[in-house]
Amino acid sequence: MLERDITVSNRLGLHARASAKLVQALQGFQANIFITYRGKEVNAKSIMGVMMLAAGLGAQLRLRADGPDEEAAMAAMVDLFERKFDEGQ
Amino acid sequence: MALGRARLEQPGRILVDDRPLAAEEIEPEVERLLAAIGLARDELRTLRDKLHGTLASDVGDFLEAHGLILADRDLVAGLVDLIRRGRYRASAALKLQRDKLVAVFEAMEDAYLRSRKEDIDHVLGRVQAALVRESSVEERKLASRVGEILVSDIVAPASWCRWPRTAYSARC
Repeated sequence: MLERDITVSNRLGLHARASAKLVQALQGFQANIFITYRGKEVNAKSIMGVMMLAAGLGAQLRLRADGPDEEAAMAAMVDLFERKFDEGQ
Repeated sequence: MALGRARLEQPGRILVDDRPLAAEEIEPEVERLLAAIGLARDELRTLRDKLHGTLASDVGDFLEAHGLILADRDLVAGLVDLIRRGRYRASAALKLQRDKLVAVFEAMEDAYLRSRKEDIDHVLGRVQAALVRESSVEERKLASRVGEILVSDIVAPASWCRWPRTAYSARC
């Protein structure tokens, strides 16, 4: 199992479109992937779960991946956050 | 000032049938809901495929997100559960789920995220619309309407892109 802390750095936070990109990026992975924010843990492959986190700019998240391809899944997830979901800001 | 025939669209307003389901009505109602969700997803996919130019990236991202919301297992399972266990009709289940989700959005601290309760209204409103029509024939007729005044407090991204650019001359 892998865990990684990350900060939401795109200006609009985890809104529907950013959440959709996250879910799409994770769809091909077998690993179970979760995001925790303010004590609430959600399935990162569920767009409703991710949106309901209400994670805005600056939110400190904990990412957790558990499964045969956990390393690749975690890398894909971190890459998306670091690219600010390709929103440019 | 505009004069003409007006059509009112309220995607966030859900007409609710509050009568509880009889036992034998439950499974057909589940099927009706799932068919409406499927129709709404098909419509979003069709609209997404039609996009080109600048609309393709901006509106396309919204349509992708809305399609994923409709495919969300938890959302669909929650609606089906309301029908099976609560004996709600599909329209009432949609209204209950919408109100519950919107309440979560309205409690969000971040102003932009709070405003995105519109996504829920657009998506569930689309399912509601699909429930009350058998096909999207009515939507296809929209492009040919001339001189009609659309009145709506919210216009969904999916609505903007289903009209050809020449189909509207002004908005305010």
